[in-house]
Amino acid sequence: MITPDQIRRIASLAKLELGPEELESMTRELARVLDYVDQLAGLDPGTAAEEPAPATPLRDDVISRSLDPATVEANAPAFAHGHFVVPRVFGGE
Amino acid sequence: MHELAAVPLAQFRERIVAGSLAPEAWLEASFAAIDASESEVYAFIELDRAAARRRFAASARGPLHGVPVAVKDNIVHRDGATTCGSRILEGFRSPYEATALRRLETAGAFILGKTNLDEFAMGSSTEHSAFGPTRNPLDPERVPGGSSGGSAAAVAAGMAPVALGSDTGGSVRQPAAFCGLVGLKPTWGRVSRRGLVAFASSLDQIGVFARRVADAAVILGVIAGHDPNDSTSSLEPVPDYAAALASGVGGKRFGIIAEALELLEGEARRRFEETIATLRGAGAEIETVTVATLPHAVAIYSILANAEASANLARFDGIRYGRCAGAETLEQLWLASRGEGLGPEVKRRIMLGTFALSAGYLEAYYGRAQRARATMRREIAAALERVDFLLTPTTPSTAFRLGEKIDDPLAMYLTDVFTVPANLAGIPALAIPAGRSEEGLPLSLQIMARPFAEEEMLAAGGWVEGVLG
Repeated sequence: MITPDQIRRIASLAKLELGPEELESMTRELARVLDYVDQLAGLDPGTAAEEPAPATPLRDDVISRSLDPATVEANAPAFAHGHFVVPRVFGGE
Repeated sequence: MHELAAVPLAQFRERIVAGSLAPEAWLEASFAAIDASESEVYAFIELDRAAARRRFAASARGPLHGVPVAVKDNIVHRDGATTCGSRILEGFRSPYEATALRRLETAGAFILGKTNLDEFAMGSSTEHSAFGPTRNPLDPERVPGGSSGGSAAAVAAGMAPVALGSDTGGSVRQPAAFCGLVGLKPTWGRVSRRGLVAFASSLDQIGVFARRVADAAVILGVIAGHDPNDSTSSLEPVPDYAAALASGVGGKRFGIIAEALELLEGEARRRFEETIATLRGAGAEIETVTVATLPHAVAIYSILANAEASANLARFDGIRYGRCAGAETLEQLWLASRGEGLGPEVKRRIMLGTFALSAGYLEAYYGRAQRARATMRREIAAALERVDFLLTPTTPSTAFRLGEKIDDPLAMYLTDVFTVPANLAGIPALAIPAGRSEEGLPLSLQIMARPFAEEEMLAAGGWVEGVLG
């Protein structure tokens, strides 16, 4: 059975902030879905390996235009000197 | 319904050229239908009439000139916003357009507007849109299905002759079934996914809503084909799908999946058996085949689709585009932007997918589901060696009421049990109207075929449509 502590850990890995109510409902709902998918444990384990992905056609290795910085900047919440701006990465906690 | 809805797309152009229809006839009919029912149905997230008129005026004089297309709002276009039904894409403008839309525009069609969907295409009722639910035009107390519910509702309400959706586990076929329409999911790789916002990349495929099989064939012929911008799009040549409709089903064999029949109850089972008897009576050769893993389809899908989604949706980080929450540190920015911007169903799926890929659980969940998927693919391929097509109902039930399954995620997932196998196997599938239930709600038959056998599948679909219509 999945526990609230496990849910907290998964939420941290998934970078999702969950409120106390969300944590409670998420624990309950995920437990139910995981209980349902556990039916796969009963399938014949002799059923062969995963299939490799089908080969995909590759384009010629030539340089083509990518998005220009002005287009990228237009969508960015914060952008300066050709870069995305983020808060400090270290510290805080 | 206005009279234009009765005109097959292939004849629309002829009538314009002959002078019996004005090129703007569909545009005006769309606006009239929107005036009549959009305030109740809420099919569109974005509907800017001036922009639609401008796109029509600028449209190419091709075979689809004058044809408005409603487009699910997870397929990007440079003109206007793309929301995916989510708050997290607030303010986002795509810098390019989807290849499928560019091809439609090159053929003369124009984009009417962007339709409502379950957030990031995750859902089966269109109730999980951040902008509110779409209602079924045939019964506004019921859902239109999902996740492409807005596209289905737009066509069912006569707002557009055709629409595009995306189908990851049935998101075109299930709403087509609930709204009494034809719904086409092509083979994985048949249509470029360039510009379709990714949910589960090994399952996603752009699909078509139409009033008749012939119209779906016309649209597929335009949007199918290799695209250098999607390396998973196939190099298989694109045949003349519309012409193939005339070839019928002579000598073809249909298979009923025994395991699917066992999942059906009551009226759904009785009506499916009646439909099969009708097709037999009309000359179809039908036998029973087995796909032993079919009852496990939703379990397999729940793990694999959501594992892929958890990786694909990592891009919504509050940094590069979309909603950004104020925060002191980068970690807080991620947590808050995603925590505020994503809805409960999307979070649930990201959580499930992250769990299935996490250390200690990868093999027990993701690995096991991958092997089960491989087994299902082999079973379906073996069945499709015995017969040319597989038949199931498209859905286990008719359109349910708004709110009926919203608090029970598992019950919602189980509505996709017959549509998910085609995505897991990568094969094409077609939903076709098959009469009405005792309550007067649409029933639907699903035809699945071998990979890249859309020509044969559409021909069979046209034949079935004629028999059941």
